Amino acid sequence: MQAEALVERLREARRRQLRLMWLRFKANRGALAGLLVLAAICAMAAVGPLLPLENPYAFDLKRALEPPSLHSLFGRDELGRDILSRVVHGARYSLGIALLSVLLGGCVGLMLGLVSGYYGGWVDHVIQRITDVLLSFPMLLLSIALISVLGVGLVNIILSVGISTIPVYTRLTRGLVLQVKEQDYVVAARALGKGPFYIMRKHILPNVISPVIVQSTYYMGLTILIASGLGFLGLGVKPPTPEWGAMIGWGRTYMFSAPHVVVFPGIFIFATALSFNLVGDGLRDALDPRVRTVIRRVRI
Amino acid sequence: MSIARYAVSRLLQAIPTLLGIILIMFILVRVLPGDPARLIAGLEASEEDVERIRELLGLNRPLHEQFIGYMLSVLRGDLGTSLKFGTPVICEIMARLPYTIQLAVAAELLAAAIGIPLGILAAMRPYSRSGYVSTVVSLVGSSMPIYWLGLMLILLFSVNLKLLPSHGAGTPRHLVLPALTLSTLLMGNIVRITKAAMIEALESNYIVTARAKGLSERIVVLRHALRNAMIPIVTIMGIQLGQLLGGAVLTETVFAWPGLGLLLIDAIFYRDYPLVQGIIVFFATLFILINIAVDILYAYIDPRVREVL
Repeated sequence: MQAEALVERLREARRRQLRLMWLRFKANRGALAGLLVLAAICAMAAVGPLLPLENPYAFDLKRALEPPSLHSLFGRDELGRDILSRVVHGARYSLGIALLSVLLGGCVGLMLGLVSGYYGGWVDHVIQRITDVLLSFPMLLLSIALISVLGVGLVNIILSVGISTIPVYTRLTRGLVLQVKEQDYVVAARALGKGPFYIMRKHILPNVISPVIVQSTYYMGLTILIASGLGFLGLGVKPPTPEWGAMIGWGRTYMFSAPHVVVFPGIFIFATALSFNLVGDGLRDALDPRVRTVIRRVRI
Repeated sequence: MSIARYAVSRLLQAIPTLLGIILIMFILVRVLPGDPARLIAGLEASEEDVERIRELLGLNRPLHEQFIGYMLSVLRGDLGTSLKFGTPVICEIMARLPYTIQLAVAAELLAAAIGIPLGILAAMRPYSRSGYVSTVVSLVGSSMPIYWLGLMLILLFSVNLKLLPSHGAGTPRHLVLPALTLSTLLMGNIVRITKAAMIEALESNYIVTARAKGLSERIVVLRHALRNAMIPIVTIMGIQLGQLLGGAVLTETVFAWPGLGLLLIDAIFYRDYPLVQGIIVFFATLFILINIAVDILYAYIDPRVREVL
């Protein structure tokens, strides 16, 4: 009976903590604005194909490079395709690539970091030396190296961007695990004879996950920039996929006579990355000050 | 420990990392699905052509032999022969390197010239408009797709105002737009670090003393506080010099700036894989060496770091 009451009180405390976080987050106007923009872009990605827009792949050479007008708000590209429609459909690709890469890099990096930090010893040593090597490449360069071997395409771009985020996640998680693993509740669980996997899942993971998630918000912004950068270089998706970075890369030949071809996709990339960074700032400041110091905004 | 011994030990520590980089590049090219010789020759090439390329690159030898051979030649500074140019890879790299260094240094100087004053102003009045400006610069700096910014600058300064050339290299005027573009990568961090370091310095006792002596605010800030705040600023600038290499690939592509980044992209599209491999190994080595140099410089500037070595 008493145990149940205690659990209930702990739950209540947790709810109060979350509410406090939300209050702190809400007080940050920039973060709130970022959240709204992100919600709008996600909605665009979700219902884009249902909107009454032109087919983003249907070309009409007679209307190529038409400037923005009431008829087509963002103008038309070099093949006469409607840029507004391509930008809206492209949200799926640009957001999807970033989300899947962060998920891939985050899950693998999180696991490697957990194992590395918890076990220590030679396991830690091996994982950390490999991480050292991977961290000695600037992230954009590592993804360029990977995709130049894998070849272009949607899956390969997710793989190469995802793999390049593994080492940073491994480092971050390992550092957090080292702080948690000496806590009394972990020692107690070990004394009760619980296995390493049980302890990692039940006691360590819940205590390292929130900083990792907050850091992921920043990495979403970063991977949007890296993936669209690859697209711009011609190392991203294959034509005619309307990924934002690739749209700029393909359109830049026509930029001098038709600037709208590159202007609009760029605005969307910038707005998305900016929103992720704003939300990241808000979450970081709302988080417990003890873990705040390990999280920071990152650049290519 | 003396600085010299510290430098030697840092360099020795870098050796396993360097070997690791060479190994990873080696594995990447050979173990992943796909035959590199076929990849280079293209899908339409005849079987004899593919075989000839395999011979040329030594791809018909056993893997461990290939790796040892590759590693030994890399350590000798021999990165292979470019398929496109037919010249040694290292010569191609050395020919382009000065352009990338020129661009990176110009971007650093520009970022410092704008970022440090902004950071100082923000530190002096943290809640004023200048404090707000530094937050915005830092946010925009870390969210801007720099290749897009480069294109927008071309539209503004080359197309509309006709002030600056849009691509190529040669004159100082060619350097302005690429350096400005690349500098946005750094500006945010420089502003942020300058602000933090200056706020800390301005709260110190020696500043109170300097003010009590009746020195002008200008001298207090520039001569006393800034000199102490320079250590973290120099460090972050050094660290970022390495990170610039990634951004340089994008910037050089936008402005057709004939540096290493553009060479890398050309090599990828030409499937000149000895050149691709060579440039990436070279970049990674450069990145490691820059980081070591920053650590050593840091130990040299700050006696407190020297004590704990």
